[in-house]
Amino acid sequence: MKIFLLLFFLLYIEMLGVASEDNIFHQAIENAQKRTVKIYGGAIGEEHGYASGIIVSSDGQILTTTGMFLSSKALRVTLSDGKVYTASVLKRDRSKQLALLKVNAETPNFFNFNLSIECKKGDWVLAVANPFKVADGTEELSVNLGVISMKTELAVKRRSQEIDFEGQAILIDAITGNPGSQGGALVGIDGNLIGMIGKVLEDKGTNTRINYAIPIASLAEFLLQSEDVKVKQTAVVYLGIQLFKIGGNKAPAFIDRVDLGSPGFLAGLKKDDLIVSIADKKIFNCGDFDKAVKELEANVKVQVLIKRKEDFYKVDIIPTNLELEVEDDDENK
Amino acid sequence: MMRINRLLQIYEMSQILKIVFFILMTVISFDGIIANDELGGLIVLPKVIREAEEKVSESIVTIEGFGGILDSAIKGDGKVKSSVQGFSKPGEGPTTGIILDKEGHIVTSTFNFINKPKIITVTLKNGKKYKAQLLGRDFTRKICVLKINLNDEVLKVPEFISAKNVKVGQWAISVGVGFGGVENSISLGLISGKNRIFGKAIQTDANISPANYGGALMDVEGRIIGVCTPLSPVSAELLAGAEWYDSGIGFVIPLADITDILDTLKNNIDIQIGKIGIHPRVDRKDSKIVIIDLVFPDSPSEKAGLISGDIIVSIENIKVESMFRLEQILGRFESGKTVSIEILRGKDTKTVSVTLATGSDAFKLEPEKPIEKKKDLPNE
Repeated sequence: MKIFLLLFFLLYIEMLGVASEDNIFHQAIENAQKRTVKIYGGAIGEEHGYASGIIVSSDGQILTTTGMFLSSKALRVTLSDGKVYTASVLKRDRSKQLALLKVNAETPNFFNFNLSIECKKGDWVLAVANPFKVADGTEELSVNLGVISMKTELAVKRRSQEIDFEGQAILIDAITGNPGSQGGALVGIDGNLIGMIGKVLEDKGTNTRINYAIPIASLAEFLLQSEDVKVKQTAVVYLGIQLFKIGGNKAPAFIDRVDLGSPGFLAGLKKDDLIVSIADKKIFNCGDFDKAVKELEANVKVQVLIKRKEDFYKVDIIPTNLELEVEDDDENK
Repeated sequence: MMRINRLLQIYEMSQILKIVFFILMTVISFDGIIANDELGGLIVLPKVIREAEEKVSESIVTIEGFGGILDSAIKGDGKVKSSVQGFSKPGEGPTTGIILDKEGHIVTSTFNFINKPKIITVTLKNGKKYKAQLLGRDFTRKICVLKINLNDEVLKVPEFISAKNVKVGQWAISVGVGFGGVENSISLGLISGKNRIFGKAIQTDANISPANYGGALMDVEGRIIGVCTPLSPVSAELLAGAEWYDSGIGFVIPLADITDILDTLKNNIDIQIGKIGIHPRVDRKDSKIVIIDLVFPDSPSEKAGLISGDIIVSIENIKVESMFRLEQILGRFESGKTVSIEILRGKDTKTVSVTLATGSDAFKLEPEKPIEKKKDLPNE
């Protein structure tokens, strides 16, 4: 059995045409470097004004992450041949953290999306990107080797701000959580695209930067999306309560204001009430409150436990429907 | 036309011959090809990693702490108490532990209990959750042992490999549940060094971070080398070393080689760095000569009869040739251990046995006053 497996592997190498190369990663890296670009844009404060991107069509469409750099009027893309083009943003999706750019250039080398390939934990991966913009002009992009640590849903934050990231992510053990890596290519040993390197984010559980990629399934979904998605929340319920948020998301959930005639007002909530739990979910702070509210449905009664002075009260609230414009904090900061 | 067809046939034949040649070559060179052939080895490695991870998977548990400093930060009066300095939220999420034996002992990193949680739970891979008791802590290695009380559960004890059988340059895989708390995440690297941190740790370039502190570093055959923990060669502080997370410099404590230490921890005894209670200095003319400058009162050294001016020649037959060397040698021993110290007093060499004490016992500024006997009240 082992002989057959081995045979398969050897023929596999032969098919890739890398048996004669002294390095099995060489071909995959070379292919990826031709199809990955350097992006330069605007920078404000600690937000870095540069990133990487992957070419996804022959007419100059480039996929990258959302970020501060997109807001620049002089958004520039450097292709692997060193030529610089001005780019425009075709569409973006904040919840997927993806944006599609376009340059007026022929790009015969682009990534094919092979959705049938499934990557597994432990598989080799090569990250090709431009961390810290060390590569410039025709200089080749940096390569990091790693393996897939696991595939998971993310619970992440950027500095103190919590971020909702939709869909699965591929965690890798190559260090890609650096400025400029975002938008880079993650390819397998065979050179097939596995995903795109995501932004610099921290894991909420471990408080350490995570190294992750957005899988190609999510990328493909975004490319097929027709519209520009800016507001990620579909349904927001209205309680008419505002919390005392000066201490930030970690401050205890004290009510600061109750709107007249709102569901909260009708339930009898008052200023300075402390929210202890919503639908049996414990609320330790304002952040927990925001999260719990997102899960509520309009016109469905929910029990809220509050503490007023030394006593606890159970109240029933019926949230109403309200569409809220959520500002896009990436671009409007 | 015929000629082209003929050429094509020859080409096809050459392709078939090529494959046959490959088959023959493979059969001939089959012995050890996986181990020795660089290409073959690298390509099968992902599969080998998955098998190794599967093998240890059931022996890796999820540890959670409830009601620690941070959870109870909001008191009844609504006032927020200050949180731990430095790292804003160390070890707050789910962390990792390794099953040590069938009795329910679990080894993990002390990093995971900085919050001093009141309740600690251990969740096995089959989803069963147990309340755990924190037993002894080893402050020199930053590891500790937990105990869960099992009913009928049979734990899967992993295979451990001694550090003696681990070579620098071999593959190593770190495993932990810090990302999400259920599934193991893995990182691949090499063994970078042995005998690190006073000879206590093994160094690896696999990613070691809060995602796998308390988790395992294993070889490609799924044998556990040690437990991942933050360590620093320059500081023994509780959080020291954590700033090096994912930096390519990570440390693990080899487990198969410290069964005596683990037994001590299982008996609920803490282990601290052993001190002899002296202030050393080097000779003005020769920095290789380490002299005792001061002996602290009531310290292990005083009890052993050492005095100011003695030259320390060797400890446990290891020559002391610099101040750094002295620290390095003494760093290997825990409080309670007895070491033999060879000294030079004048022209005489003398060997004394010193029982090491904890830092607070070894560095007293004043000798403890003998307790005065109570005088009997005069009979009236």
